[in-house]
Amino acid sequence: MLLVTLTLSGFTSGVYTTTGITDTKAIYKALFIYNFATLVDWPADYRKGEFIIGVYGENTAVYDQLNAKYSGKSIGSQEIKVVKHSSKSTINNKTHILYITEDKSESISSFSTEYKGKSTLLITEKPGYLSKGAVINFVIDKARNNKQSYEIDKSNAKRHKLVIASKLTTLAVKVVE
Amino acid sequence: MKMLKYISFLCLVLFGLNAYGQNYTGKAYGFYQEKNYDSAAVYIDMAVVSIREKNNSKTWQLRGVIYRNLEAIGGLTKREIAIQSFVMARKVDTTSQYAKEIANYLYNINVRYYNDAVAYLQQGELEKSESSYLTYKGNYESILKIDHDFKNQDIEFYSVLGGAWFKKNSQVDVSEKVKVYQKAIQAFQKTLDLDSLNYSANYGIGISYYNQGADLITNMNPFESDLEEIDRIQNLSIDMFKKGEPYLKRAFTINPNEKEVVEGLTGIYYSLNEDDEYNYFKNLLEKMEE
Repeated sequence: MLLVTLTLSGFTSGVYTTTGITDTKAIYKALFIYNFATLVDWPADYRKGEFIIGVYGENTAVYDQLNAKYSGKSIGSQEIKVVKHSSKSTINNKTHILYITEDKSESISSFSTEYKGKSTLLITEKPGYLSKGAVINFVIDKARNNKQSYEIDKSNAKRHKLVIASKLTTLAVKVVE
Repeated sequence: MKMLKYISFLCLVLFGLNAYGQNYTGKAYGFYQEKNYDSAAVYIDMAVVSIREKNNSKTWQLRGVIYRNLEAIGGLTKREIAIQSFVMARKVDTTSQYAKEIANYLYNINVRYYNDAVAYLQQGELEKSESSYLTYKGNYESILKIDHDFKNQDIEFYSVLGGAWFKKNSQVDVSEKVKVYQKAIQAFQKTLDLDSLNYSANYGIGISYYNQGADLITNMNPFESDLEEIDRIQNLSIDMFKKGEPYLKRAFTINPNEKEVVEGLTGIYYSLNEDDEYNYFKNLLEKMEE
């Protein structure tokens, strides 16, 4: 009998690896934004035509998630349209949700003023930005394992004629009345 | 040279069988020489129950050799009969006349279990691979009667087995992934039990937990994941990332120049929203990519 002892040398380290870093935050934020869309009531004139979700800023990770998962789908009878903006001038004034990425956070003050009479749900992702006019602000909940969470300013919502469902406020890390 | 030695020994044994004339063992040997192993098996099986032949070590050795040759078509059962035959050959060899030769037969046939373990790894039959490896190891004590230290072999085998389970996750459905990752972690843990500073096993466990956490998030249903579900998945994924963190940190301590472990830690701290650590490893990763 020819005795052959096989070896494991061909199997040793380097045969397995991660498939890269997953942008878990972007996935969560896109899921949250979709939930916001279903838990906020817009005035009647916003309940027809397309449901527009705008993303303003250079970081496109959340846009990519929203576009891949929700573009062309529906909220009620409205088809979702996800639009990426690198300039304020291209933003449709009937945008339902405007998510402002961190690099463009400073623009929230001007949006708050310019969109005063419009029912656009302004979302930011920087600590303290509710006070600058955001309706919802993404925050990290340090008291609960650094979880991705959000805070709400109901008075800012009222200014934009948006009605926030109680479920949304119940699960917020902070609610400003 | 070793091979020639075994063949010479076999000839010596079988020449000796001439003394039996046309007894069952002699007939079995005749068929064996003609490579008619099935007929050889019929006669050798009669020999080992014959009062005149059953206490002859050479008869049992020939049976082992015949059944070893039948393994190619008869499978593992034939190998087991061959092993039992060599064990009996040793038992009836009361003067230990053939002790060394029988030990060699047993050693060589047992190596087949190790080779099976490697072959099953190549084929992705990982449970069978581990089972063959355990048989190979177990036979050292129970059959070969050798007190062998398997520590280094175990470290290598289970590290490779863990890697093979890890790789399998790309070939299975989402529903199977958790089981496959758990198998990978179990195998890597066996390596770590013997060698806590093994880089591959530490990295393997860390990245298995990281991937499970990331999979939980990426596999969420975009339309059916309400706020409670997002919260539930966050709890589960954070738990996975936290489980993976110490293993990746240890792997990084062992081998800080491996890009894969820096990438893993960057991913974990990003997902845990731990900005200081994330920025540290992100910068390190960027330097490595320059």
